[in-house]
Amino acid sequence: MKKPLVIAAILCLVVGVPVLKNLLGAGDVKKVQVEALGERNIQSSIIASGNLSHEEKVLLSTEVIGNVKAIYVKEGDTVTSGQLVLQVDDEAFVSATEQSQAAVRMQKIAIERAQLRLDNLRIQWQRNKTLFDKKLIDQHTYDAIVLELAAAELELKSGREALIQAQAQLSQAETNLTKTRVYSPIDGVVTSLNIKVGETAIAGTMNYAGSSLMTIANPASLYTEVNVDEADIANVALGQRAEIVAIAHPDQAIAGSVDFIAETAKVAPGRNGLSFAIKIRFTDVNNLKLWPGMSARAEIFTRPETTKLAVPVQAVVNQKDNREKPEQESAEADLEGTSTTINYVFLYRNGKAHRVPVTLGISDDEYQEVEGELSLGDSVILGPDRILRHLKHGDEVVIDPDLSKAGV
Amino acid sequence: MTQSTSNITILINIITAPSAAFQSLKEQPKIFFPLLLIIFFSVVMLATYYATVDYAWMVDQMVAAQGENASEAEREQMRDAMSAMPPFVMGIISVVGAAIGIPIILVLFTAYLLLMNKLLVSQSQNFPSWLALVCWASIPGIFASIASLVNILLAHNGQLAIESLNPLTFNSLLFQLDSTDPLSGPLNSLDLTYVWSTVLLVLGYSHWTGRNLVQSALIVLAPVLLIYGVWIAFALN
Repeated sequence: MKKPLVIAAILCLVVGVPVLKNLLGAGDVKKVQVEALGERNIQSSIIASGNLSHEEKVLLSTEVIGNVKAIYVKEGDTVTSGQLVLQVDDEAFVSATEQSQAAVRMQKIAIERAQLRLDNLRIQWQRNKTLFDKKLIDQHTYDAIVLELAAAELELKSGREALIQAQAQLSQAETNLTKTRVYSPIDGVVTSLNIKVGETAIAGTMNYAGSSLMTIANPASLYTEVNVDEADIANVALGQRAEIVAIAHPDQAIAGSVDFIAETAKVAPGRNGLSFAIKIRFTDVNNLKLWPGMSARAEIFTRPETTKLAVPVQAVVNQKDNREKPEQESAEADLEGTSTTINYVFLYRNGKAHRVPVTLGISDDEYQEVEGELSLGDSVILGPDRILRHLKHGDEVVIDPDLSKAGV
Repeated sequence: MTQSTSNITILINIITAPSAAFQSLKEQPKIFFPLLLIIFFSVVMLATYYATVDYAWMVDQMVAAQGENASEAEREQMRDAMSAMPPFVMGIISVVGAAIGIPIILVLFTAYLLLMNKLLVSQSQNFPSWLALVCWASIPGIFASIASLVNILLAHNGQLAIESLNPLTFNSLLFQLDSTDPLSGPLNSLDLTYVWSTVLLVLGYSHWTGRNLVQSALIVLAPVLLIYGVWIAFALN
């Protein structure tokens, strides 16, 4: 009789210990951070990244090949339109010009000589004609002088054409000579100097070393070019307000507005999907030092600021619902077919977590508009994330003031 | 010749009157009944656990425990690798591991007792006898499995860590150390039923060999103390 009682007692203990621990709830309560549900000013926005660049920018190159003899500016110098910035060695071009000038003078002399000969032959022809008319010379002699006169006229004409050719060559040589002096076409700043004295400047495409001399840009024309994903482009419009944050000044936002939207989507360097290039003009740079090429992030505000019932974005939990839906409910089905995403938030009520399904509205970086069975002042559970993502309806929770203070 | 004692009688005796059980086993060692019973309860407990656990939560817990010093990217990699294995596969692995591991541990301990006894006395019980003693002495482990099963069934949200399954461990009853604490491992592996089994083994050894309890305790506890001593030393280092 004693033995069954002993075994029963042991079994009661074995079952009783976990039951008692469960009732006491030791270690089962989760510490969470909460925030009161309230109305927030939300400004719907999209974030895009890109670089700073100059609108008004000139990449100077040379039209002649030669050694760089002198550079009159350095990077960062301010230049004015028409200012001489670079000199290519012009010795060969000066020689070519002088050679062409001599050719022109020689041709002029040749024309004078031809004119003199023609004049002389005209006199001879006149004399011979008179003699031929009086039958004092024969036909052969007369024909010879006529031919010589015609040849002299042609020679003179040929000389004049040769003079035009020599003058054209002189003009080309003079033009090439002027091209050895490179002038700034705009007022601006030398932002890049790609060649040094003694190096060879090469005319032609920009892909060869030495073909790009320097870049001059107008610093007042600085803008931000960002790439907006094709999924977000429909919300972007010209004139929308934007805030740009340059990597070099992460704590200072610069005001701007959307100035240009590309017509065609492209795959931007370093990205996988299609995006549209957007140019954002600065409205006030706040005396910040900005340089072209700097990385920047832009927040484009696609809708005016509105006041909505909102929760912090980290409070929204979503879950894929993979139940089959009837074909008639195709309007809300996502592109994968039958699964939809259910969004919900957890509220803290009487020491327990209450799961509330919500519909999402607009959002910004911090807050997400929500609609559902919610009231102002409800305590929304924000985290920690490792607890929130596994939280279940009815779980026992307790507010941890330390988490709330730390903003975890 | 004494009549063979039934498994059920030995089962009742090992809990309520161990000396009678030891005498029966000395005369007629029985191995498979207790061994299968221990494996059965462990398998049922593990299968129930993996059938009810919140698997995503469990993976997160394992990543948090193992990746304490890892970067976020490494933790994400661990999470992906662990999530790739479906829960039923993890369950099968655990069940098979238990079914194979439990006999191996019992056989190793039996081999130790056999060796020790052969070194200390000229006459000794044979291997099957020692194995029978070790298996029957491990019967209290069934109660740990039952307690763990109750714990699993009471967890309404399936969020029960595997190290917290057994409510009879010293960590669960006394210390409540977090899984990231290095001492939580050894304290989670020691429970009341293990102590009970160890006492049974000491009593059984003493009954069979005629040695006093102190000598029997030293011999039986030597490997246990060595293993846990090294484990705790590593944990504290």
